Amino acid sequence: MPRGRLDVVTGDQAPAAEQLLRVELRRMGVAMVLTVAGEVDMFTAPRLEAAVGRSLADAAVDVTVVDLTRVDFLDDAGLSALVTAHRAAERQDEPLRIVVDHNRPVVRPIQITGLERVLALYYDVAEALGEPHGSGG
Amino acid sequence: MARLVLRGRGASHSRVVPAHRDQSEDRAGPPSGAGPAGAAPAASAVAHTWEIRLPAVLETLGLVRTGLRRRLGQLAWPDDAALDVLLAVNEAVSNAVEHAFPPGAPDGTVEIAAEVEPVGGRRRLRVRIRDTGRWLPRPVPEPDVNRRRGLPMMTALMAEVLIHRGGQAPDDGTTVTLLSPSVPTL
Repeated sequence: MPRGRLDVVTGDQAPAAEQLLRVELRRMGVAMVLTVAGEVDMFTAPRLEAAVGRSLADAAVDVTVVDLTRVDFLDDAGLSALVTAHRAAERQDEPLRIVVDHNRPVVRPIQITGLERVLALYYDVAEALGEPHGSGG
Repeated sequence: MARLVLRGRGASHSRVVPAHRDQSEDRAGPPSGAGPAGAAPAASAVAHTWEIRLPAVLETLGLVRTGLRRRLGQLAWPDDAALDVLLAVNEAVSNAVEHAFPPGAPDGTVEIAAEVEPVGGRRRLRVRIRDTGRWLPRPVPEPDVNRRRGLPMMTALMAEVLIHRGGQAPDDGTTVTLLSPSVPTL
């Protein structure tokens, strides 16, 4: 019966934020596609937020697509980064489209917090790129 | 000193139980009333335990998840239920890291203790996340920070969330206890 075992771990053993979360930016015409891979938490979320911020600040970019299908973990800090980015995009009247497919580590936290009613979610990048700017209007 | 009990899965009430109950519950023994009377001595009621102590820093979050994933895999915990445990524990540890330690307190630690409990022919996880400081949810959301989902996430994911805020003693920290929904026994 394994009982009372205490693992003591020091911070030195922890990987850096760059290893835990990778973000690639790719221009596709007037769209910027951010491919995100790894784990989004309170430690790494600033990297996601900064990358989305760069895309939103780019005057040549009309649509930002954030592909989260290769994200293995997304927590409250990650959700907050997405909501903050979504609001910033709204203020610029520039859509922020988030690709989640059926990736449960991402879909689950979005659903239990009700944010599927706030964020613009897509199954794949092609679908996110295909929808014209200002759809529904 | 008070314990806040929040029922998950849509139950609407929360209650504060008297402090004198904390001691016995915090020893994290087998749950009273679980299993048939006299069937299981205390030792066999705890199938697996896992304890880890880490510095209360941001890098700790990933290390906790890595360790917990491995243990959940060893326990053959169902994937969907395992994700819920990871999410809930991660939020509790995030709170400990973010709120528990005043700036300039360098030596804070977070302790996580997990054990499997039998419950009604099934099994569930009891995970206790303890820090050595005061865990105080921010009373007012900071403008545009929108970081208020940690506790609602925990209560949505877990069957029960207990928060025990410590007293004034220096190491009398905050303990969050998470009880997972039960899953089938192997």
